[in-house]
Amino acid sequence: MSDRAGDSVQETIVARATPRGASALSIVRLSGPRAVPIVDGVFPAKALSEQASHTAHVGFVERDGVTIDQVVCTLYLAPQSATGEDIVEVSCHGGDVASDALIRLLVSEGARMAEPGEFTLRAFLNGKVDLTQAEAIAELIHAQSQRAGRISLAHLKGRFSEELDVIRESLLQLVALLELELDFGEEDVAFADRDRLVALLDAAQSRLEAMTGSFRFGRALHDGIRVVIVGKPNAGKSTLMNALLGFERVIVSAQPGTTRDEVESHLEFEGVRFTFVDTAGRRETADLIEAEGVRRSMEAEQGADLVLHLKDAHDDVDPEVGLEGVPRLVIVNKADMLTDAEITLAKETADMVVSAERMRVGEDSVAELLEHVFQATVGSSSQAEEHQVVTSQRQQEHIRAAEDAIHRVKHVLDSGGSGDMISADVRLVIDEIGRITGEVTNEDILDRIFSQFCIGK
Amino acid sequence: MKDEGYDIVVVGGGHAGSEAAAAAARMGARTLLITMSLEAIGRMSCNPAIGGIGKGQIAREIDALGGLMGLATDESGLQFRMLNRSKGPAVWSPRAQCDRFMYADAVRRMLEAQPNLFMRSDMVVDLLTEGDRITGVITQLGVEIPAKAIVLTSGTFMNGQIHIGDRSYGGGRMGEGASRGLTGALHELGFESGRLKTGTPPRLDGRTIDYSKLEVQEGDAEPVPFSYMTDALPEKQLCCWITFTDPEVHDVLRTGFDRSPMFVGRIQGTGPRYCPSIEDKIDRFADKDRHQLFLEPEGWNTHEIYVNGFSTSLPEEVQMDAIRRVPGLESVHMLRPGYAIEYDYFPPYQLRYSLETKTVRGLFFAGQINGTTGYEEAGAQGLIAGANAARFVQEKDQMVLKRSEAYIGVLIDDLVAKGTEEPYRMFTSRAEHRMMLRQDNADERLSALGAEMGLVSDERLKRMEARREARTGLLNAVRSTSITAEAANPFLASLDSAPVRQTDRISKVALRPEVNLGALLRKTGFSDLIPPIEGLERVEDMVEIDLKYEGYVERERGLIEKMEQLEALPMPNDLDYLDIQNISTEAREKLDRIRPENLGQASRISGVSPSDVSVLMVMVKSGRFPRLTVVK
Repeated sequence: MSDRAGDSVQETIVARATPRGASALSIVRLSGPRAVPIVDGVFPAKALSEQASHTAHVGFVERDGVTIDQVVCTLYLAPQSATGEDIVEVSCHGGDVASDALIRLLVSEGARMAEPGEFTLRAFLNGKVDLTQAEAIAELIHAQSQRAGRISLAHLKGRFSEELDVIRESLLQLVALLELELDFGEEDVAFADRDRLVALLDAAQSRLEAMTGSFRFGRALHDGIRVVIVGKPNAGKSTLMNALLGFERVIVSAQPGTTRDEVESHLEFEGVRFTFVDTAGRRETADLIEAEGVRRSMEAEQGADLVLHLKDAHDDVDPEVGLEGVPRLVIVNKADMLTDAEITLAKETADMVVSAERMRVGEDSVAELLEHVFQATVGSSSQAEEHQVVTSQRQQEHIRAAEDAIHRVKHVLDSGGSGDMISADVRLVIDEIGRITGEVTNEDILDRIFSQFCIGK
Repeated sequence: MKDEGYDIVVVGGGHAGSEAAAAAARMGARTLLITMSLEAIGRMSCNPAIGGIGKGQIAREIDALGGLMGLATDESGLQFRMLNRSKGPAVWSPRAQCDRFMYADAVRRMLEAQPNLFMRSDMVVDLLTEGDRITGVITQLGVEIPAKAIVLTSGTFMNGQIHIGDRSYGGGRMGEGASRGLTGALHELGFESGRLKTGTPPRLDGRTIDYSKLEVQEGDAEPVPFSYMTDALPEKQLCCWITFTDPEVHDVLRTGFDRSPMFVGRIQGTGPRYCPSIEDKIDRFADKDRHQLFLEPEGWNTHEIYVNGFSTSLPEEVQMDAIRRVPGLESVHMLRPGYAIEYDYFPPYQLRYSLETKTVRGLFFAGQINGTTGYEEAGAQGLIAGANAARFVQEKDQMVLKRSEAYIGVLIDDLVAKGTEEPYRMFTSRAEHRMMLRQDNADERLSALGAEMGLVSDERLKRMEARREARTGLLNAVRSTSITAEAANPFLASLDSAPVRQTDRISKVALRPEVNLGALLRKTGFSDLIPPIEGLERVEDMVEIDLKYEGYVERERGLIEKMEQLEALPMPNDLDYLDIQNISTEAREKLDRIRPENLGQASRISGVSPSDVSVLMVMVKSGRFPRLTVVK
């Protein structure tokens, strides 16, 4: 049985309070008993738990010493808040990149993505909304969930839904085998050996991993891809930016950064919106090898989907320096100044050797570079077509939770845990998937057992 | 004639009726048990065994609530086994073969010893009501018996129809007549009914079995009793035997398919999928070339043998021909053939959690009438219906066990919230909180509540409290006591378990799956920590379970808390679900049919989505919802 319906008011929920898309500011809102401690965990500027209600606080959101964004946190403590619970509103920089990163961080700290209409529901349950509005609220919840349903239905079409069905099917099969063993241990039926269970888990896991991968593509379609260009002064970053700006057919806009010392340029390639960020302003004085330089680089790379590391052929900067988990392309620039031998040599260590200058004046094509960037972030176009697409962050959180649960099942299997324990953990996985596709009841599993195995003394 | 009247009349003397009558009388209600045959009270009409996987847990819960089943089993048991021992403790399930004569005798004796309880041999043919309240029953002998509450436990007797091959006749069990009239009376009161089917195998003459060809199945060397009050079990046990069908047996059985009441469609009722007849098994699983059969003794002093796994309604001569081709049964004499029985049931969504019907106040249903199968399922419902009938008479709140408290809670919630279309039997997989609902802790879960209700004696309550204290004491002791590497490692080495590097808590070492806490304590000089308890179980075994399941139990508690918030919100009687615009059509229809008692129940109905639950919550909390003009 799924516990979704019972998702309790004890939990702290989080959601974006402003629409997606370009804007000066985005607001992420948390409501629930742990709203303040959760934000406190990522907001070292001051202890929000010691602050009065209805106050605002400026500071940086950080994780592991890495800054994610500069934000303003506004506190509304229960019961003097819109939902009647503790609320923290975090205003971060506009666009979806910062707010997405922030939400992911808050979820990893223990908040849960809000269900449709949940803030309003809580407001109502805590007496914050006039009873006469109850009908309107009921309508709102219904409408929002229908809309979410339509949206996820669109996502669930085709391969995505098939993939989830396949996973759910293999997990149900697994639970059926376990339950067969537990409920019909006296019967003359053959039980699955543990290797078979592990094989089923592996299959489910690799499918879920593929879906996590597809989330990148889905998010790319939806939110665009953020590419940060780093490199020493005079590595040619600005030239490259200008080259990209000159890529006529694809230019969407060019605008100076707001508070970051950055220049962003947006362009569309193969249907995906790319944002290139030149960290020029703050970077010109910094030396990447120095600790301060590395720290700054990592800061800039927060929220990046790809880092383009621009360098000279003779520059031996360690390409490993940078934020963990963010893919990077090492690009040797100024090919126009290199001999063929030097280019061949450079290609051994770099992903690409280019001439930003030639691109800028139109002698070389930008397309090849863009294709590389596309490959490194979205994957090949044909692969993209074949992939089911996960775009919703909520769906992605459930998939991630399902993956975690699979890891736990494997651990229990490894340590010789009993079938009832394994089954409990597998059911968690199914439940997480159920949160995306619809729920599974215990009866499904018994039906399965009855239809497949000869049961009954 | 008009009888003086009772607080409660229980109709039926099977496992549901016996528990119902005993529970009601224990709670102080003047109770009459009417049964067609007093000799049949407590009869095991199918296999002579109590317990089994999922069912053993229920039997122990009945006992923890002061019921009869556990005590009768311990007294009459001739073989005790803890099933699933090699699996996790959450699914350990006690099962006992019983002497069915002794079992019925024990039940009859306990009922006769019960103050406030009276018996009558008669058949109820009609129900008396005034407005929406039950007021009594009328019997076949024309006697009108007034009562404030009635518990109907009619088993397979209501319009029972027995089938063997192409022969078919009315009957409630082999050799006993069916009960007529009640179904019509209930239809007139507005109840819907359906037909179910169940079956039973042939009984054999043990003197004609060649046991040398059979595999022996022994009882446990250290048998565990069903009752928390039992201090000793019979010293001797009998064994059961195992044999198998083969393709030849299957071929013979197939020759009777054209006269099978199931295959030719004469039986309309739905049978249980988990307890199929042998013809069903070879038909549906044609590639399986053998099926296991258990030969189970029916008593200490009888040679009658029950053939578990060979339930059938094929013509008798086909049964006979087929069974004589089973190894060991070549020259067997059949005492009576197997048969199928069809009977009326009343889909249980027509009930409240108390097992009182939604439409007639004071009328309660328990057992097979609600679509269940099994002695344990029946006994559990009987106990709850009897207790609630007494509470109804005493004008007190209904007694409801939650899904998180007991298998009995799962059973009744499944019935009431979902209904059932085939005979319902318990499985551990039905209980989402089975990590907590174990056979070792039924007393701790239920006896205090039972005492509060007046179902459980002081002696039983004290015993539970002493057990709980010993358990908590040892749990705390192993958590706070450390064991050195020198002390632990020789023991761990004997298990091929990796050595510990430094001194650690005993509880930590005991967490390893291969480590048994009792052995660890005894072999490393910590046996003094183990407190003595009454009964035949060992406190160290219980504490080991507590330790190993801790994480899972913790997780379940979180889910339970969420569900309890929903269950705390009652659904109004006059809510017109069909007129709610903001929920799905499917939810509207199902909610209207089932009419849940609280939001938790509503949330468990398939087709009711989380957003539907939110909408219902808003409406009920605000008191703004469409209302019925006539309450259903």
